[in-house]
Amino acid sequence: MSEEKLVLGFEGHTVEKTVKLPEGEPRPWDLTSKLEVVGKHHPRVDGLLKATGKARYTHDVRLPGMLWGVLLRSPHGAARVKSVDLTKALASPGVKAAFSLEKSEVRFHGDEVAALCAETLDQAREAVRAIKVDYEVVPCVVDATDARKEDAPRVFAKRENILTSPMSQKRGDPAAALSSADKVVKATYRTQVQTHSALETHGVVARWEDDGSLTCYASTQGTFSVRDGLTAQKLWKLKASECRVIAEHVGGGFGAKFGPGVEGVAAARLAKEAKAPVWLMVDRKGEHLSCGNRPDSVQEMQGGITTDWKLTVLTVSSYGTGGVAAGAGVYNPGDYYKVPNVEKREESVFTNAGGARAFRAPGHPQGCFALEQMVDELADAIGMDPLEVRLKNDPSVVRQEEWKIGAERIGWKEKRNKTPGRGAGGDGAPPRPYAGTVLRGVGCAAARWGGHGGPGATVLVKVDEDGSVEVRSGAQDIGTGTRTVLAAIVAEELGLEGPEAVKVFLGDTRDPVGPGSGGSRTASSIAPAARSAAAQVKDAFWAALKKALMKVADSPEGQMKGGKVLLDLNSGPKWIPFAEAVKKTGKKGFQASADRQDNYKGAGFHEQGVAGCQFAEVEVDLETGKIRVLRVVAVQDMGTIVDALTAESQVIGAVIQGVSYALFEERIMDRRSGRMLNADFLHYKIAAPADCPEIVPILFPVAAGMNNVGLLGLGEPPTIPTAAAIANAFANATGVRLREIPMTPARVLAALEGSAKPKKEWR
Amino acid sequence: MAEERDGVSRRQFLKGVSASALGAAALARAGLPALRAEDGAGGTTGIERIPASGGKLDLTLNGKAVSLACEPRTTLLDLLRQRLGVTGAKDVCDRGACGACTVIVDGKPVVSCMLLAHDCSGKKVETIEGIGSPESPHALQREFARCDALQCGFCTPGMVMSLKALLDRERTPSVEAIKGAVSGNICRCGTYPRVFEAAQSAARSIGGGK
Amino acid sequence: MNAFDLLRPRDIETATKALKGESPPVVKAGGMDLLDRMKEGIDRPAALLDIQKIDSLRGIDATQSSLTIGALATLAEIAASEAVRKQARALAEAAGEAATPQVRSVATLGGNLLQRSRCWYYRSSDFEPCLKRGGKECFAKEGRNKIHAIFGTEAPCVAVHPSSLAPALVALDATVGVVREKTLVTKPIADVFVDGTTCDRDHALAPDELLASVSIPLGRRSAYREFQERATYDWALASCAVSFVWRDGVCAEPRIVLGAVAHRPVRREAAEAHLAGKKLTPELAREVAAKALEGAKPLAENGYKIQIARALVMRALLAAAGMEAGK
Repeated sequence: MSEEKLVLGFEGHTVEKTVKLPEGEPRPWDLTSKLEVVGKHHPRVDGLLKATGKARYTHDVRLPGMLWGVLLRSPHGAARVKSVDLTKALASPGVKAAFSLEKSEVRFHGDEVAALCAETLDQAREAVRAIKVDYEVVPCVVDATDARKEDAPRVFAKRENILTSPMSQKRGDPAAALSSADKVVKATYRTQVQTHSALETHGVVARWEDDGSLTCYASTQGTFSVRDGLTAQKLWKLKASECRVIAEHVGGGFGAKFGPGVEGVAAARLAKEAKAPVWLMVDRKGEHLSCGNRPDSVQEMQGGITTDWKLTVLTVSSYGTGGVAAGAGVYNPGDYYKVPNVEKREESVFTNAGGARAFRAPGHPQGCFALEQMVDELADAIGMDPLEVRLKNDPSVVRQEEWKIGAERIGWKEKRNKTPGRGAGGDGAPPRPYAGTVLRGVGCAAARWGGHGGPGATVLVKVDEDGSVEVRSGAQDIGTGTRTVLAAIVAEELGLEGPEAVKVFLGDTRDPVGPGSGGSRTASSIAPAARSAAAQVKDAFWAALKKALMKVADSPEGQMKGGKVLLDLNSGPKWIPFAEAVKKTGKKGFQASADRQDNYKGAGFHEQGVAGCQFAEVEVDLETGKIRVLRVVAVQDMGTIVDALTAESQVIGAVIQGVSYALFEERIMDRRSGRMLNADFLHYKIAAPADCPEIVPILFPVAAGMNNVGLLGLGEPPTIPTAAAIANAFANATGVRLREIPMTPARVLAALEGSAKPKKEWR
Repeated sequence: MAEERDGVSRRQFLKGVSASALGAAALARAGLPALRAEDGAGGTTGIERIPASGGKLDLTLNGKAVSLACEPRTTLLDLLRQRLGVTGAKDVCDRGACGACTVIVDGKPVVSCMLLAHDCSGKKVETIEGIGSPESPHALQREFARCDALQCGFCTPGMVMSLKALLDRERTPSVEAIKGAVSGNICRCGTYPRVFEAAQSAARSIGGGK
Repeated sequence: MNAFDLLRPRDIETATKALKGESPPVVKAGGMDLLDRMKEGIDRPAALLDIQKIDSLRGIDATQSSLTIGALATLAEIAASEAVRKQARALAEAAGEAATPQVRSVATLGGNLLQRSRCWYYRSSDFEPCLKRGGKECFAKEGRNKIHAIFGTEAPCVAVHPSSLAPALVALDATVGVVREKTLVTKPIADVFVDGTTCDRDHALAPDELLASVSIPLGRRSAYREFQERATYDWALASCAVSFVWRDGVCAEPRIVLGAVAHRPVRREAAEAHLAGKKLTPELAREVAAKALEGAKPLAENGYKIQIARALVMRALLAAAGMEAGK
């Protein structure tokens, strides 16, 4: 154990902290570190591979003799399965294997019933139609409000539909605080079911090897969790060492792609039965129906504020449905602002719909949508600028800065509509129906996240005798830029020119263990291990240089830069290329692997979690109810910025997903049959290019100091506040609150008509 | 008189309808141009029949002649991905609703999932693999990587091909034209602003290079 | 998709000959709509008649009195055609707003007019066949119907016609040329469409009829406006095409047609009468728009379409008159 004094925080707010470092740990980066590679804009290392169509995804895997698999899904919301007859399907052209999943009941539209594989995908799709299933359709319920009723059909025969979550929060005396607050606002907020809709669907290509082991190419955000899911199956006996999972490139995940899934197990089973590799990727419909979603929510909320702008109380009672899965909670409203009295109750309601899965900041966008509108409504109640109320109540020193930066950038003072419902800038012009009237407004909302990464990751760094550098981790890059982050960190540590000098191998369980890409913790978990391993390699390299009787400095610090190493040659000190220096050691190469250590106790800057905030400017067409998001300024803290380019991309992407959530996306269910009506990309609407606002990503670097890199989670937080900021901007434009997303024209028009109609001053 | 024409000339127009059968009067009533004598009689050219089991298909793929037997139901996308192992174009929605399978056929961007392979008989098909490689990328591919106009990368080949079709047609497209060209391409990661940026940058480099 | 034979005639007569008989092949042009239905499995034809090699069905021709467009003209060609933009602006706008560049490259005029409804009940193979597929029930009427009809909702089927070109062509007084065997028949385009009492079809053409061309008389000012939730590539929730003869600032013989609000494009005659012979002003446009939506009977979830359609009528009128909405 060594001790290091670190300078943490950000310019204008620094703290010194002493941390105890585990053995062999390099000195953590802090504000005094002079970094050459880390923090700059680097194109992602696999960018060209992707842009040229050469990146191989699971969808693209083609193996000799490969068969094509398809799943049969329930067309019913709920039914008893009386029989499954495969005879005709097995006799269909090209079919090589088929099996029933032997379910006695199906509980949602899309529930898997059987699987088969054939020589072509067309054959397989046709053959699956020939499977005869005798269903006895039973009543179903797809709406959380309906499912809570006494006489609602039970989703699970032996369980209540309502599950009270233990994830509750209580502090202070909310009842007393509500009665003593100067102003109290009561409101109900609603959010919809959103499907992940990764462009690459779930699926696996499975091959049984001659030695009895299983190789699975999987579109996953958890190579090791897919492996564990497969080895846990009773269908076969496989040790972890006998199951290899590969995910070289992954076409998005967003939280839905951890286990092997029904499709993965089915692919392996079909491959075993057909004695040939099997490709089984879910189709778009199946993806919507059965591969995860963000639960909806109904949040009844009360908030109290004093006339001196202090938030005193927040209570929320929420329910929502994750279909046949639990977990329809919202985040804790008391975690953002200094609110002394908080109470939260929540219910997760079972319905006959595909099960929810973790979805980019589970619970947070929903909760934020309610909380941040409530803060605005409370500010309105006391006639205050909602930004001022936030500054007064926000305990995060980071976000205090971010609010100011964001407000400046969006032009909060000038753009905020002082008379909502009237022309922007308060020019007093009344809206003129049928004259192309549009109103503009701005709104803001906060994001917080606690993903700091942790142990459970090992990274191998190798320098070959020719000086080439490779990094290996079995974890995966689902498009977030993990490869590039690792390359940048190792390049920094070894003094290489940039990320492109490092070859990163990810997504193969034969390589060292790594985390699933969830909780915004992939990079934050493996980056410190990569740095440790690189530091060990560096030390070994330096020792070897010395041993080879090269005249070098005592320590490599400052002696390796820009891909060169400073050696004292006969001709004097000279920077020579790293590869040459490696050759001079006479060694066959260097390698080291390092484990991710715990985050340092008592260290770190982020007690309130990662901080971010967003400002949105919107335009509302009063005649058609169309909302156009003009601009979003997203200020985001992520600890150390490793690669600014891919980090900005993450923020931009998260905002677009937030816009899409706020305005367009919604799973539409037929209540009677329990079927999803828009399990496609025609009626399930994801924001298209023209819907994209101008987005200003502003990264807010903070020396975090809880591990040797100080990189924190970034994938999730910037998608949290977007919908809330848009909703607040809408209210600022129109003077009307829309407490429900997606804010479709139908809802906008209803809201405008409902609450805004006889605005006396209009006429 | 100033007669405006687009595309195929009027002489060819409705050529197949035999004058004798339909009569000039009928055509006039229909507001259709009268036929000329040399257009000849219809109904004589026969009918080509490709049985469900498959028929010969010839097309040019990325400059190379491809000739194979193919079922009528095989889509161009399935031909590329499942038969030929050309997997750059992605199968995402399979309904022409996302643009990830975009390729260029005879200079036009198309959704290959909604075309029959036989629709492309005798045509030139260009895919992401045909326009550049990591070693020698097309300007668009290079700029997509440089500007980070991609994240998971699954929509990227479609985006690039939609834009390639635009840049082949217009050397200096406006931002609006760029947005229009990718208006049928969905990205779930949210890369749009950088796609616009990469396209502008590529257009500048191509335009400037010539 | 099911396996099918592909038949490829090179001339119209061969094509129409092939369409005779007990179980004729299904006509395929660009295939954008047909393949979608086949992929879903709601249509499983044994043979397709691919008419794309019939060159005589291509092209756009303008004379002094009319504009004639072959059924195989693609939406991209129509949107880009100088002649169409000048003489039939509503049509160019409708073609340009439809779908995506990739679809417009391939989708044809004929296919757009004869496509089937986008009702999500009809389009799902998981549902029992609805009225449109020969079944007994319309699931949309009491079901989820935010995308459905607001006119003619008393009819058995409340699906809407999805074509964006159709309302434009109806507003332009277009006629269609239809070939059956060796006979060419012209009829008003309005006759191509059917109302919700003819549930199992979305057009009135017989299986052995081939849509050959569309002709548009010249001399009308026109405009098309549609509304979709997303900025691009979305099905219109409502659309409006208008046209009139412009005589010294006065709108004569106006046509006001709404799309995506009924089983067929619907002309709003009362609104036309209110406009006829008057000088268009924003105030008048508002009155006409209100008239155009009179008689709408929305379903449970689509009342909002009325207000949107009203706005579209106003905007289309002002656009056609060169008085763009706004200031």
